[in-house]
Amino acid sequence: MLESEFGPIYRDFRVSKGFSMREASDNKAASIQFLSQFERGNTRIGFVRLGRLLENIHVSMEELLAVRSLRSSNWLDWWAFALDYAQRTGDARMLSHVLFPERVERVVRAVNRVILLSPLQRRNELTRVEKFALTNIVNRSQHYGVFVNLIITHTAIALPASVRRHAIATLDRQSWWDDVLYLRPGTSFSAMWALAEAEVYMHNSNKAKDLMQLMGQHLSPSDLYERLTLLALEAEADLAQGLTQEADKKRADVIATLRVLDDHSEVRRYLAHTKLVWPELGVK
Amino acid sequence: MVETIGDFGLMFHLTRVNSGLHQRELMGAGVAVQTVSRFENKRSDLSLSSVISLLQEVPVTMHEFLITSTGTFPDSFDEFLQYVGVLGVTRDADEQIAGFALRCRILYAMTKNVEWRMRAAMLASSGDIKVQEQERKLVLSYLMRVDDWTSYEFILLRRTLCTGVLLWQDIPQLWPRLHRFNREEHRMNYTRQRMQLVALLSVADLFMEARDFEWLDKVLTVTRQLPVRSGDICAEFHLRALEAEQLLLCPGADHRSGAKLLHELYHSAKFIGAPQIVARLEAISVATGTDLRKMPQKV
Repeated sequence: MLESEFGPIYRDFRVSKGFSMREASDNKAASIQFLSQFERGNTRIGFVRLGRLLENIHVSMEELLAVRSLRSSNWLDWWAFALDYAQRTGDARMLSHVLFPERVERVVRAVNRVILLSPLQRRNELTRVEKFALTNIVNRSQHYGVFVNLIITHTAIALPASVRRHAIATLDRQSWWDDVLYLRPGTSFSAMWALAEAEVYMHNSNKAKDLMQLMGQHLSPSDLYERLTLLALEAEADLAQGLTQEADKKRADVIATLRVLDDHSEVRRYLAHTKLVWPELGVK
Repeated sequence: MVETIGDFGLMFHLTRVNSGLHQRELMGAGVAVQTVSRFENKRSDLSLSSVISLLQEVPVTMHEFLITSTGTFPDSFDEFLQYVGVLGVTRDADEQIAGFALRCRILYAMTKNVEWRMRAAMLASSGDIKVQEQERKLVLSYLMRVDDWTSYEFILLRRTLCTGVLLWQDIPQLWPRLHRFNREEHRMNYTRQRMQLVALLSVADLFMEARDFEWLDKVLTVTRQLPVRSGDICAEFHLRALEAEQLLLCPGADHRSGAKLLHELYHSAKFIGAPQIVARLEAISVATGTDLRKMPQKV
């Protein structure tokens, strides 16, 4: 039972914040007897009641669920983090430790397998059955959350043109949100970025330009990371059009910016990406 | 606060429908279809464990379920945290909420309840020296009491520094709690880490204003090590600009590398297209007498 985990964690929070049991159970949140049973992990608790108990000790629901020692944390959170970690470090081993529901096994395994490959390699590596499963998930969802966005971000290049069009239309309709760094590949922006990169790869330069403009419109002044990735995408588009000098200049500026900001993991992520993409786009 | 089960049920319903799933397909969670249905139709509460197992099946992250799926919040505390947390990130936040904040703070302060008085102190300045002094004592004693800070304490600190309830002179006694972080901890505790990062940057701003270079250096050293900094480009610009200013102003520092860093940051900010950061860097260049058009010469 999950409550046997959460009760003691709640107790740790309460004690380290210096709240008494009386204060924690205030405002009709619970009786002291109930609280004491919960803290010992002896009783189930409803979501609403837990929310009130947490409020009394100034801890948000998110923070409680984020405790590291929790065995039962959300698999999708883990997966998103492990994918991000693999791209930042080049080490994909953590992915094999993420457990997932059986229903999504095929797509999760497919994404895990191609995470460190270049776009062209991804398209060749994914099997027909996998592409079908990916397509199915993208088509079936009415609103793209982190899960679908992650799938699009990592496999856009392998999706059929009609599915990509459908995805673009859906993303354009829904409101965009972001701002959880490890979930960044799961944002609408990243999904759209990957779809635009796919257009660059298909040499549909006008379509790619339209998408980049659309993405620019969704950004607020403080979305600097997104602005920088958009510049990186412009460099790729230039390269695909044979504007090698412009592309190299933009790439150098992106790297210089990440360096002056002293952000080693982002420098590593970007260098790894360009190392794969430059030879593929530059050949023609 | 959510008084009924309805809101959770509705949030779950929307989350499920958005993923294109039927109730039947959630059998893997080990919760009966009828139970799910009653929950969605606002007829009964659902235990924490059932909610968590259902969310595994949907699939949706906790962050999405709690914050973004419907735009409503599961309890007023998450909502309050989110709201006040956002204030530190938007630039004209102070103006935006001034009216609202004042109305709330008057109501809150009247309750005499510690909890609400602290919220009042976070929202706006009372403008009354006596009240301010009482609130300062109240906030300080609370912050000193809590050993392990979560988002709430970092936000409380940053907001009360903004409203002038706390002063930079109060930082040294809070430092043992403010600077502590766990290098191993990452990902889902993102909210707390980010609030700590923003709090440290506001504290650094205050020490810079006060020209207290010893403390500034202390604060910047810790800020630099926070893992959450990576990828947060706004915060990184903020931090690096402070470092450049520190090098330019601090007696005995390497002014030339300060000028070089400022110059490089300026170039990058223009490249990304970040007018507010360009303006900030220009202000630093005026205050320190650094020419941004010329790259500093090598010796």
